[in-house]
Amino acid sequence: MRNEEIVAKLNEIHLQLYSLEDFTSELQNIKDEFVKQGNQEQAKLLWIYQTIIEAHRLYINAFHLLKSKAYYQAWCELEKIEIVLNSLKKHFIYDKKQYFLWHIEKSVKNLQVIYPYRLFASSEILKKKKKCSVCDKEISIRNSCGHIVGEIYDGEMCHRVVTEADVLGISIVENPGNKYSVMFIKDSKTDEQTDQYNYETIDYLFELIELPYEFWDLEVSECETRKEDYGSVGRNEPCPCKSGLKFKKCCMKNIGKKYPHYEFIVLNPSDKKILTNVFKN
Amino acid sequence: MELTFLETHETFETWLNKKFVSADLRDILSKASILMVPYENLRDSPNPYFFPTGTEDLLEYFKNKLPQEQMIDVCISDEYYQEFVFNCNYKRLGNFVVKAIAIPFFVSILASYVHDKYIRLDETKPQILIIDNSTHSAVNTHISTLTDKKYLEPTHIKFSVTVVDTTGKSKNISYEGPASEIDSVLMNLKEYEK
Repeated sequence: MRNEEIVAKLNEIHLQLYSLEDFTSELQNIKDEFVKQGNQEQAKLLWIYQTIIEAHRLYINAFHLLKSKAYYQAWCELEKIEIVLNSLKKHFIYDKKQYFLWHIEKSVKNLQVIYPYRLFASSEILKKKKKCSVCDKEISIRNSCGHIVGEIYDGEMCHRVVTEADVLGISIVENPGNKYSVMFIKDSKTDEQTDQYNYETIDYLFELIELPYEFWDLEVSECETRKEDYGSVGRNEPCPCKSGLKFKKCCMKNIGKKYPHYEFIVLNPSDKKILTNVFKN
Repeated sequence: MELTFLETHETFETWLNKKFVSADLRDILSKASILMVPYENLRDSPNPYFFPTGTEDLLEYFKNKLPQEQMIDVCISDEYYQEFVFNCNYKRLGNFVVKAIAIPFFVSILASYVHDKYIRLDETKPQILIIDNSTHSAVNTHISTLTDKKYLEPTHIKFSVTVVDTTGKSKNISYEGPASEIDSVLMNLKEYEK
């Protein structure tokens, strides 16, 4: 398969006419040949193509997971996409039309905005020994192997493999190094995990879009909470958010505060409006 | 954004005389004009000297860009060297001790590293414009602030620089905030150029 044929096939990737697994295996065989020939430039190009396919594979996974309401698993796939695209951009800057990558990246960002997660449990790690993924040599600060992390060698990205490490602790953070470590509630007696988050906004969106490559976008506006938003509820009446608290002890405190209002731009819009919280009632 | 200025008694010798610097290494390090120094006692550990993850990358970047007459090194013997990864997505660039004569090089190389590594990548990412519902015009609020989700923030960095002038007096500047402010932060070091 020649480069032009690969590019032509990648240009149709959003049509989902072929298996991504088969395509990437085919590219792997071609890459192996280039590596044997010592053609680093072509092997790197094949890595770029494979990475583009990987971003699509993860995105399709995330989409179907969200359709089936597997929210946390989908969140992890979105995080993987972000990591994959960051690695790719070091070697390949795409425009808004190339290979539907912008659609993926924009969708990931928009979804991260509407996800209810805010706090993460993140580990503190001390890396004592590491080696190079390319040459397997142990790395010391004054005796590096010469391979640069993030560069492509023999069609694979160089990274460091930590061979000895200590976990120093776990902290609760709002802006974690990676976003996998979402915090969930666990029942101390039954050991059962509960997903306490409210995914109504995501459900709303996924009722309106059917396919992974269907156009959609998010518009965000800044609103201010007004007394009228809660109708004619009195201070001592139950809060309309159904928290079980009196209005004055609950949502009344939000009057005057700014909040985001999301509007989805989709092919088949709905008139339905929702008012949601981060957590389930 | 947090920018702190401190008077300090810290000099090159303060660091060269630490127990984690061997006698042989001390001779080599005394020729350096920029030292990357460890965080000490950040966490309880038998070896309490930590460098942030990414030090290897930043060190190589400096070595490749510095002119021959300037030298950078890590202020620790190889056997003590270890890296920490702390949960927060603040990119810790490390702690530096810089001779005044090397400031122009330090400023331009650190700025170019932050641009190459973080700012350029941030600029390629989709941005979300926020509209004020009452005026229908764009507002200057970042999506991370309005939604109260810090993971949507652009890259933040953290570093500290101690500048030692020819008379042995030192000043320390620490910064923690958006990577995009790097140029204006580093401008503060220009006045220490000798």
